Amino acid sequence: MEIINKLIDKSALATLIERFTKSGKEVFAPVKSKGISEFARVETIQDIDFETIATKQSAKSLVFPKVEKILSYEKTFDDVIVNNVDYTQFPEVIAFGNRPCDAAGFIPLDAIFAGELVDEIFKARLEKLTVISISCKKADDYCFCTSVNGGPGNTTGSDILLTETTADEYFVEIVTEKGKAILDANTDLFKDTAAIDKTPFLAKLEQQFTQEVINEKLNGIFESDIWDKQAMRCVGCGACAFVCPACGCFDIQDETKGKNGVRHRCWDSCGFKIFTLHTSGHNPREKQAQRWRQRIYHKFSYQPEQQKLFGCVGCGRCSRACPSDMNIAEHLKEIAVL
Amino acid sequence: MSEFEPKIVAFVCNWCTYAGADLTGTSRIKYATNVRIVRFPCTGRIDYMLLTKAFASGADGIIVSGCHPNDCHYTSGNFHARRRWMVFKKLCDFMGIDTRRIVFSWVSAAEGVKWADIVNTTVEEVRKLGPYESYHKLSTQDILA
Amino acid sequence: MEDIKKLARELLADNKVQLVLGFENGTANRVRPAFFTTPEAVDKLIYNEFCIQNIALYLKKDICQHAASLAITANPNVVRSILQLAAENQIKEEKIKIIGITHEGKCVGLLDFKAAEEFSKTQPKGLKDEDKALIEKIQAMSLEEKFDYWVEAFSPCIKCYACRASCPMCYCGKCNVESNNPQWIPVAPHKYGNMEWHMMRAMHLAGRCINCGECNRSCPVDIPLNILSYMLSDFVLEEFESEAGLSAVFTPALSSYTMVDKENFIK
Repeated sequence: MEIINKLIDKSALATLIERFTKSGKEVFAPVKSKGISEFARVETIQDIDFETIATKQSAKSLVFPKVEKILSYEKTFDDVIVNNVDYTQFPEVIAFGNRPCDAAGFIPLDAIFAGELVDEIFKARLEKLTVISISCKKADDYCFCTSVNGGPGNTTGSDILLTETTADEYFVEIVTEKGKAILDANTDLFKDTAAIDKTPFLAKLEQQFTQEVINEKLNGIFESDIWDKQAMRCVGCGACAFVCPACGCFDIQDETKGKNGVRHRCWDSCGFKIFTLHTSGHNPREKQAQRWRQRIYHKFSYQPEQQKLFGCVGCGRCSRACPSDMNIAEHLKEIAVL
Repeated sequence: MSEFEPKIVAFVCNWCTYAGADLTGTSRIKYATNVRIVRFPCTGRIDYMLLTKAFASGADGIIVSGCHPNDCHYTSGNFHARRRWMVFKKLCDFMGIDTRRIVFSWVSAAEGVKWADIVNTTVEEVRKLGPYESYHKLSTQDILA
Repeated sequence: MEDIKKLARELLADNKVQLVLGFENGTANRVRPAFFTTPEAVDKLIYNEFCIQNIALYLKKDICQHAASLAITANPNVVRSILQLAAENQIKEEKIKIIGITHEGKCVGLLDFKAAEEFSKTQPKGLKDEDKALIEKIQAMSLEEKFDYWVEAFSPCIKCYACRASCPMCYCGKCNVESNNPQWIPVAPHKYGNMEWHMMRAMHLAGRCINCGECNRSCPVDIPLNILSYMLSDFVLEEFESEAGLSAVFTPALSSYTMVDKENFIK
């Protein structure tokens, strides 16, 4: 649909959030606690941290939780009864105050989980999710969204995008039908406006490379020694994948108590040695460098080929979370000039 | 509701306590039936995580029992175990895991009476403490229901 | 810093080592571990108060395992880690040159293991005051409060295993959590899985941890893991008069015993 432009002032925004929570919707927004900003359930606008550039973890857990029950089972005398998760009962969730990069992250996740084969649980969660993003006024040294076709005011993945234009007012872009439904139900809170040039209100972020160039370069450097060089200081934890808004790899774990059990889906990371370990003991990705290479190839070569999109939104969370400063933007820049 | 009957899991050494428990039986000494005995080659083999696994599997109390010092079939298994228990107990105390529910003992193959006594007192102690709800809840809340 | 660089350059130029493990400037005003193989490359080597990551971790990684000999810029935590790794037969003295750096950032030249032991004893260690206060706060809690505290403290854990990956003492080729036939420690990052994982890890490090605090620093969700290990180290020191990271010839407390260990808790 065509984007609808509106204005909303901050008190109206507070009312909007109140209406969400009162109507039984669960609102998740960045909340600062003990110095760390993370997505958490909020009741009022006062709970929300508007300042932090990026939460430590992404908003992906709203549709792809770190651990999630996908079915439960019960063993009887001569049978096994399987109970699927009732995904029609998921609550309506509003992601509020996330950054455009977070919103963009839902697109590659959707492609992973609901491409050819549809993951019903994921799809149900995503359908119940409305994304109200806020454009970035600031960027830090880790941000590189402009290099991966994103931007501090990008609407991709958002249902509504808010851009702070004055101390008291947001410029509102209603991007999708879901966003329009919110507008329609709360018309009293929004004011009419013509389209506004957002540029003066957005963070300035220089483009460092293009993802198309990376994609092209990757064609010839699978055996290059650049992977060894870059991954030398990688400690092999999974922090990068777990904070990434676009990483969708998971592990299936059955946990049993007596005759009952559940099947859990939990986050997994291609950075782990055990991720590709075969039963025979053979490991096709034995070295950390190969696992690092996989991470880059998956996002910039395999996903573009299979799903026609890139698996990186440039939020820089992996670089922030890395204990040994493996900065993905820096490494991609190296690849771009090879 | 019927009275609470504690579930006790006993991790015991094959060479002493297990034989001791056998002696309790052959001596026809009666003792509480709440205990489930798990036989190990040595107390040195009893991984501390087995204790938490027992709690997670519904145990309300645990007995860990092996050979008296200097009696170890493998010379020093029980000495190593002793240190490990000390440290594990400290960790449990710090993390809020109820160590009143974990009983360590030395019971030799000749101490059938002592074994009966250990089991009986443990059962009574744990009966007073009630079911170990907090750990049971922790270990089942994401798996059952 | 210049003396550190000079030393590193000489070692490489004289072919005494193949590799120098140190720090360089990273991105976004951070410093990061770096590997130098030529005297010219050493121009980039730095050392300042931000170089606190415990780079002894890399001694067990491929790059250092494959080098015939190497040097490492070693602050007191790194020196202690090296000694503990040596005590556990993970590194040989002839392979490693330790460029000792005091907690104030002063270079004390090359240390052999004997000198490293002396150096290690003279350097301050221990927790920050706020961490000590947290330990005391937890110790003062009731049993239920302690349990709830830790369940809550571990609940943000995402099982990225950065604590394990950043720890120089967590060098096992196959971690206990990877024992999956059957699965021993739950993989799922739910409350129970998190509790068992952190408990298991704390026990495996008891008497071996040198209290560098890297587990805490590397944790993306800021779980105060270091205080678990510290509390146990403290206990081990008190009970067994055993302290990791002070000697290259040392049997960790839980790998040894005495005839007179306390047994007042055993019936």
